[in-house]
Amino acid sequence: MLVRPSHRYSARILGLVAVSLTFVVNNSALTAQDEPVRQIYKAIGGPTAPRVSVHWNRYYDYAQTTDTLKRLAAAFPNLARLQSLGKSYGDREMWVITITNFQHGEELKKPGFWIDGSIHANEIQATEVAMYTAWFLLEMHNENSFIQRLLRERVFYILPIMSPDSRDHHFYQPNTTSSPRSGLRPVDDDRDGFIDEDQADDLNGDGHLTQMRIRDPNGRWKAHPKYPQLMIPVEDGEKGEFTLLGFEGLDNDEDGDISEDGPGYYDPNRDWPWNWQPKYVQSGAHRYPLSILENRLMAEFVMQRPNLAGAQSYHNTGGMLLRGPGSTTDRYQPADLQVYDVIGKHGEQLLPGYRYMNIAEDLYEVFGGEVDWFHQSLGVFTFTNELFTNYLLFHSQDAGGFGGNRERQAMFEQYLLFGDGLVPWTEVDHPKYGKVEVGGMKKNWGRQPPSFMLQEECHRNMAFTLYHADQMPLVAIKSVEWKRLADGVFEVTASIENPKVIPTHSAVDLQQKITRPNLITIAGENVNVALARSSTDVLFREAKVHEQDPHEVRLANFPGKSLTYVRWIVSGKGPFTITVDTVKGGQASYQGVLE
Amino acid sequence: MNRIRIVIGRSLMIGWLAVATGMWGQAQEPVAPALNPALRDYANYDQVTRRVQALDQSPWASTRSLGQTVGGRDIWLVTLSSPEAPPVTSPLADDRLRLSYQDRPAILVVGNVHAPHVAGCEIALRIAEDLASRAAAGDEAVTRFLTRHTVYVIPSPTPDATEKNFSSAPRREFTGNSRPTDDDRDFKTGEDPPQDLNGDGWITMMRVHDELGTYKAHDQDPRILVPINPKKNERGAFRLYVESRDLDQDKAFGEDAGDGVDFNRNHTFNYKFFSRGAGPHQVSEAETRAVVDFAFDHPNIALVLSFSPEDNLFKPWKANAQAERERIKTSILAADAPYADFLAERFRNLHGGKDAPDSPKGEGSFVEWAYYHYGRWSFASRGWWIPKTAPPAEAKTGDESPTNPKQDDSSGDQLPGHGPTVGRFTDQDPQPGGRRGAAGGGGAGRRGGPPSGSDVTLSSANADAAAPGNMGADAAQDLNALYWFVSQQIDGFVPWTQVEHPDFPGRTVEVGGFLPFYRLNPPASLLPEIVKPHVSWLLEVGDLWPTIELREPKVESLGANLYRVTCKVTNTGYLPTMPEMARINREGYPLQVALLGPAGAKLEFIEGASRRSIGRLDGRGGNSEQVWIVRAPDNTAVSGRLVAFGPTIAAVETVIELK
Repeated sequence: MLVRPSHRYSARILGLVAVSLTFVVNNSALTAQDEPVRQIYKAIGGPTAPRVSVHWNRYYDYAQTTDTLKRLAAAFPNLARLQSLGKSYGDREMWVITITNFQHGEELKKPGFWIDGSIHANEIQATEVAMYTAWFLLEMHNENSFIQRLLRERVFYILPIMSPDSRDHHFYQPNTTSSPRSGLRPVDDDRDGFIDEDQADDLNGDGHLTQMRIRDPNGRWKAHPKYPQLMIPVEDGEKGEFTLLGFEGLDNDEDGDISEDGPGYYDPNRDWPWNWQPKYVQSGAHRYPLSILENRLMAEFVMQRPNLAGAQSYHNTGGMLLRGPGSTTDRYQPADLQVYDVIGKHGEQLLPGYRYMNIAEDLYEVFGGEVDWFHQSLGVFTFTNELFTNYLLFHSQDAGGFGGNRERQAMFEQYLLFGDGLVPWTEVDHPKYGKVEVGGMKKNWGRQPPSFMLQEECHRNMAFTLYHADQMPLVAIKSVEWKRLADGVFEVTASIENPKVIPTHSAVDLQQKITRPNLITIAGENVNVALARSSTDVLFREAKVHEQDPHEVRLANFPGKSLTYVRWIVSGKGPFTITVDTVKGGQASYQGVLE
Repeated sequence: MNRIRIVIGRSLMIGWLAVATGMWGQAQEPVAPALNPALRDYANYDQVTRRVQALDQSPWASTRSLGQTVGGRDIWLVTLSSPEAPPVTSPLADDRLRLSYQDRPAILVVGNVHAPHVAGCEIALRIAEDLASRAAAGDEAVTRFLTRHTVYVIPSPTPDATEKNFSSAPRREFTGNSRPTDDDRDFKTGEDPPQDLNGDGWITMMRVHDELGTYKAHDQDPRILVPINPKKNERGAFRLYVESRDLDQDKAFGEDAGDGVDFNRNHTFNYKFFSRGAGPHQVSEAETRAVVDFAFDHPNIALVLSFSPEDNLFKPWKANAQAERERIKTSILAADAPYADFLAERFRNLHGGKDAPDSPKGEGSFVEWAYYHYGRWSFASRGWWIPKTAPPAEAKTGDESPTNPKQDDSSGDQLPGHGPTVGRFTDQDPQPGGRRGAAGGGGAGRRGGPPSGSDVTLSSANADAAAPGNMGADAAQDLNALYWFVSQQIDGFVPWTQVEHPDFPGRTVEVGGFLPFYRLNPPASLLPEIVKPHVSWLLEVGDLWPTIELREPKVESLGANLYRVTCKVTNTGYLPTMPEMARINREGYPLQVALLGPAGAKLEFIEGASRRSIGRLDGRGGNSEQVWIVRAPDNTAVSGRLVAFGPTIAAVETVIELK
């Protein structure tokens, strides 16, 4: 979610270290087709013998991810279904894998959890976290009772690549760690009448868009004394050596600006209906909410699933567990914030270096963000994790959060990556500026965890999300008691529990009437209902009388961690059934006999 | 389509003229009797389609569908423009630079954005027909206009909703499309629609006799109900509802007809989530998306004229200095207001109407979207409203008449001899919640009022709140409508008559009130005269267009093949090159100005780039001085070109000699 498009990047970035390793993307080399290997001595917390072998210390392009999804769906026919929502602008399928125990309960009646990744395509590890989650849920199902229960009770919808065209662009085209954030449909960014006419230029042809610098006696930058590849600003009164000229680029359309109109630019995460504002208020907004095809396909799928009660949209970077609202002009209701607080604070413990934050107050203002659409118009409790933080470099706060401490980052690059993250400064001829030097951070260094840290990122973030998912509402009939009031007249009391943190209806759901009330019915062939009351007070000192349709009590909500009592006065005898039917919290039933 | 038109030769055109003149003219179009007598002689979907197809025969027009609605109806677009090739829109377009627009500077005309206001569809379509006929007949003003400009006409932007107004029974004003909606958000869809209790085929109103009710009969005409005034300790006699039952027994009457999504509430500006007719989110509907995408795909559109009760030609928007300081703009900008005011004033002079009713405030409306979010000059016309009419002699009950008989005008829209005689209807139909109510007559119907089904309470009994139908919001307008009906022999009011009502046992319930449509749409016979000022206004707007001149081009030799080139890029037209709102919301396309060398000789730009963007130039003399310092390729003198262009501006070019 963080940061701006590369071509507008301010020149305050980095310098680097001399190591030249070419960034290789090779399908066959990376596709993990290895035969499953049974572990002799099991490393705890992972599958013993995965049916689908995937190396979680690597990044996968669209085709490879598609392949893994297909192999997972084929290997777990009772647990996974793969479908495409349609094709992206660039003709790539939008894959959603649905994971639940299909042999236990109906998919649409189970509380659903949504996961998407890489809506900002450059934030690539979001896809790996989502894919790891799918893989882990499936591979661990047979050997872990928690996962088994989760897939019996819940359904997961995972869309690992929200912006497939741009993911491949990031992989295969020259880019920075921050590009492309946009999709690729043509847009006349500078509104000069020409479309995408001044795109970025990889001057040294290495596949990375790095920085340009020029020697300048009046420059305000100099090389870092310890890490000479790193450019740092000079202090007041100090003499500098270089001027930074931004990312590699030319003035292809002769309008005086360098690379000012690349593919895009629109921000797919400023495209969601709730609290949407046009681009003069919210930079990156496109024409109207869901005017970006990939988002619309996803939104249509989501809007057809009222059973969704939780959602996670993975981004990078900075180590944040973000909740809405995205704008200070918007408010979440206090009761909903309490739920977020419980889950978010728990997450901080699972994810060292991550902070639970509010987008509007603690980060920056976002109109039309996905999390707000989920929460405010669908009533779904939603987090965005900003994956990876420089805290993890040395497990200490001195490396900072987003952006981080560049000195510590340079140290990590030199002593843990052995110079793998940087392109050394080399001279090139620039048609406008003459001789300049090009160098700096590679596109795969900065926002993405290095190989050896990737799997841990995947696992810890998944663990947080599974906790979130497990806290979705789940109704149960804790007990049913009845007593005889007179001949053939009974008082029947059902205790209905939601033992989870999340209510069946968020406060905003109740306010806006988004989800129908919970239905608690009592039925029996020889049972007639005279009166129904409900209360959260075991003594019924304050109770609600349900005069209309007392056999079908409509309760607005089962709050989190709550016990609700429904009491009927019935006449008759014989067998009866009590059913609890909720949209977001599942169902429960009880059968008894009055005599 | 342009290309197709270009190849039509002149002789062919003339030949076509001979056979086809009038072929698409509405006068010759045989019109099947409309199902809805209130819309007699108005074109329903099939008839609109036929007239659009007929227009396609004109060399001055081309047509296509922008997409289909859920109901399978096409959203038609008619493009009017000279069959001659359009002038060069950008001297720079070549294989390397993909131009994001084509065709001439344009005006977009959109018909009935408020579906029951079918007059809007007719006027828009007749504008297209009139322009095509007059162009084909060689009308000088029109051919000049269509040579300089393109006019895009979308006569029926929401055809599913529009068609309901023709064909659905019982009759009432339908604003929504075919998407089933849960209008009262009770998780049931369409479970309590208005009911035709008296079996006359119309939904009108229902009054329940109740001494604790919040309505009373009007002193001058007891047929009209007015809210009681708590400041005067008035006593009520009625409760007022839309003609309905309480089918779902939720104590609200006729509150959920499952009426669908309203095109004119589905746009992004001031969109109201979870409100009636708004849809699941902004631009959720196929037709909204089709129209909005068409607009964004055509940066050459500079002005949008639409038709709806949210008129801002007779009731221009007012600038608000305080609101203007806010980040999110909600009032017309002070820099734009004078131009909008002048264009509106020109329209009023041409139209000649008087006493226009107030405009309801939009929520997600089209006209506001087109200005605030699309950044174009945006105007909405009602086209027509019930003119002030003197009470008929027998109706004058006191010395105080709500209207001044002297103002009873035959000017403007009310044309002598065009008064239709609408016979007594034997078939009939109703008006539910009338959110926008009698837009044509009352200025009633601010949208988003209480659900139609609820009784109007004291708190909502002010002019700002919606009445539960087209009565009660403005008694003077209600009375005036009755007078006008008499003068036109229109049977537009159903007398209150008692019905049995199971939901009000023991109470007297009567059904009656205004018929829908009659206060919103004029008799079709008035349409030709209503269309005229709209066409004239568009032609005038064409003459007020921003016009770029490259003034005082100057070349100074600095020696050593260096030249200093200057010119003053000047807007001599009336309108600025874009509204200030377009500059702020970044939807405007800045003027492009460039100094180009001759083919094959590349100029070296010492100071400044070849091409620049000029954000916005005021009208009547707004200018920007541009300076280039260039080095010519060799010692021989070369010529260069100064060019200025933009999607909404006719491109200009001046040759300069570098010597």
